[in-house]
Amino acid sequence: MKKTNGVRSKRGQVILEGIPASPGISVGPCYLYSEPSWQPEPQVITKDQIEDQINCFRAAVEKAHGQLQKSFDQTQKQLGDDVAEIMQMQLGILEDRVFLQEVEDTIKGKQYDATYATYVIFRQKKEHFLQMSNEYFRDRAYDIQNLKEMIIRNILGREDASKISIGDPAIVVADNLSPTDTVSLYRQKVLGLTTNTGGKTSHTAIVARSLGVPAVVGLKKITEMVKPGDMLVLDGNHGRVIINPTKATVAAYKEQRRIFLNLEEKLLKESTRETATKDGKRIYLHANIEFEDELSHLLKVGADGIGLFRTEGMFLNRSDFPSEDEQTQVYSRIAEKMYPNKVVIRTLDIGGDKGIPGYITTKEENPFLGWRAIRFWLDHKTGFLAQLKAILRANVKGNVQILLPMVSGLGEIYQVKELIDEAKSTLEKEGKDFRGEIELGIMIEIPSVVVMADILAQEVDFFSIGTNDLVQYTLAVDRGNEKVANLYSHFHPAVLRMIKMTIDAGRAANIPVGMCGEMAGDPLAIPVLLAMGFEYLSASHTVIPEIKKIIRELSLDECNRFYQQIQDISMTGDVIEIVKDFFRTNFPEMYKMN
Amino acid sequence: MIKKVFTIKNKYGLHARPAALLVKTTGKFKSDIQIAKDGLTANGKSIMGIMTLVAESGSEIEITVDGEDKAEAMTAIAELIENNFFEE
Repeated sequence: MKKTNGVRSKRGQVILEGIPASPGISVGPCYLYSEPSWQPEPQVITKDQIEDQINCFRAAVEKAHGQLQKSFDQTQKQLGDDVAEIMQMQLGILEDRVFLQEVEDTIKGKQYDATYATYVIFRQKKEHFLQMSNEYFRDRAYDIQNLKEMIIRNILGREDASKISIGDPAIVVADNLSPTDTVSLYRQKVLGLTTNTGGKTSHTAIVARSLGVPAVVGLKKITEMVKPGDMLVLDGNHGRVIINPTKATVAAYKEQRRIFLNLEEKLLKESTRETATKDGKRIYLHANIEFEDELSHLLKVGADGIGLFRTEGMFLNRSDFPSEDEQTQVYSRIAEKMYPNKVVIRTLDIGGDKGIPGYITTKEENPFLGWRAIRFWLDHKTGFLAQLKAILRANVKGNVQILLPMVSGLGEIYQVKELIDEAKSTLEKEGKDFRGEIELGIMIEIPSVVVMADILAQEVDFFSIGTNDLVQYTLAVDRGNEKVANLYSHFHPAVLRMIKMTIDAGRAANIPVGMCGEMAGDPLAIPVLLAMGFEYLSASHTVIPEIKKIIRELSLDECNRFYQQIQDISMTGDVIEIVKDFFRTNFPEMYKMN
Repeated sequence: MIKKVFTIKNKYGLHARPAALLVKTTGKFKSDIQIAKDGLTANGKSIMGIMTLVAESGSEIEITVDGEDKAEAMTAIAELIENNFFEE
């Protein structure tokens, strides 16, 4: 797929990548809502104007409070508690004498006019919040920006009335949406929302989910790149916006949207049906999840279980570790809801790019080669033990498995086995309910374990290939570094060989080998993976329906023939060409989307 | 002057709703109320100040109350925090 970084060619479509904030697909004209962001110039006032300017500020705050209160009263009935809660916090800021005093002090001390003093102090707070590592708190920066703009508008005597008036159904494009804006959206024909600013928990994201329309946020400069009425494709599943899409793109997305809309019903039916290739080979489609509330999606898409439960989500955004009991509750609820399907729980995979405040704070020279995942956890035995105990306790019905991240050799497996034994004997002493027999697997993401796979297969019950790290470590490429990112590909022949070696070693030892990395969710990769012999694939629930459809339309026989063509090719580019060609021939409609 | 250390236990810490509730309570009292976390101090009557502390679940905060109604103020604050701000 062609991507341009904000450069707009004359006729071609422009693809922008942002943060997926609310799922779904929309195709429609753009409603550009460009409320100018005030950037006032400093105005120095005289001493005798100070009182006047302070009164002016107070009146503007009071007016903003009234406006917000009105939106809040209208909102409470219509929108969920989440939206109301944020508005209540904003009202609280407008009542915050201590904070508002800072603006008044600035008017007095620096002799700035009310507009500039408001701008300076609110912007300072906004910047401060933007620096926070906790996503929820960071997203509050946009609420502060909204307040700033409301107050300044009031000082300047501009209208606040509902400025969004959409008319025909459209996709709203804005820098940032204020509470007053969003309230008016509830009565209009909104096809979707996209904003320059924001994160997954920002006001716009929450409102979009409550409206049930797709949203992509954090697009940085989309308001500068669209004109009113431009055709847009909004893909809230992947966080993508396409400006002036080609006819083929629109057709493909309309089709995808139709599939997406029909999906629920269709797949609820199909979910009872097993996924198998045309020639009858059963393939298990598992889901990767991070939060418990994703479970409802899994049922909709008919996932065969959970192939990867990332436990990091429970550990981040807090300053202590969740207790054994707290973890037991979460794991048990998930195991219970998925029963009799499998739930693979991956032990804490922290470090590298994901730190825990208070634990991993020292900046490492090479974080990805450093103290992360199992290496960190084995050094915090109390925490690791608590997690293992919680997993064993959640396994009362026997459908839970343990997955260890970042294993580099046999030593770590032995250490974990000792810890599991210790967890069992402690649980026994404590008289807690648990099941001792549990399957233990390792992530295959470091080249050393691929090379040693035949040995390791004797010691564990399953392998799960994590392609993102395996590609990074095999090719020595950081795909976050744009200078080398072009070298990153899971179709690199060396990576394909690594994967083949792993699955062959698993087969020889008669243990299952699955894949839970991004490659398992890449439609282009499916024929290769089927030919290699994969039966267990785990991917994000958003791509499962597509992957299932592809599997159902392929036969193992044609996959094998196709694989013959690529297995001896030694250039990544050539492999990709053939892979795309195969896909284009067999799935012309889907090809346009990917 | 009274001081007390609390552990924030509700799921998302002192986020929008608890912070709003907390200032509603502290605002009822005449006493000066300060909240400290990791060396940072915020005025307990300022929602902006409290949010700036980023008191996540599990974090410890120290509350200092000083003034004529300090005992009543601390009791009211303690009730709120110990009941996890009446969240589930």
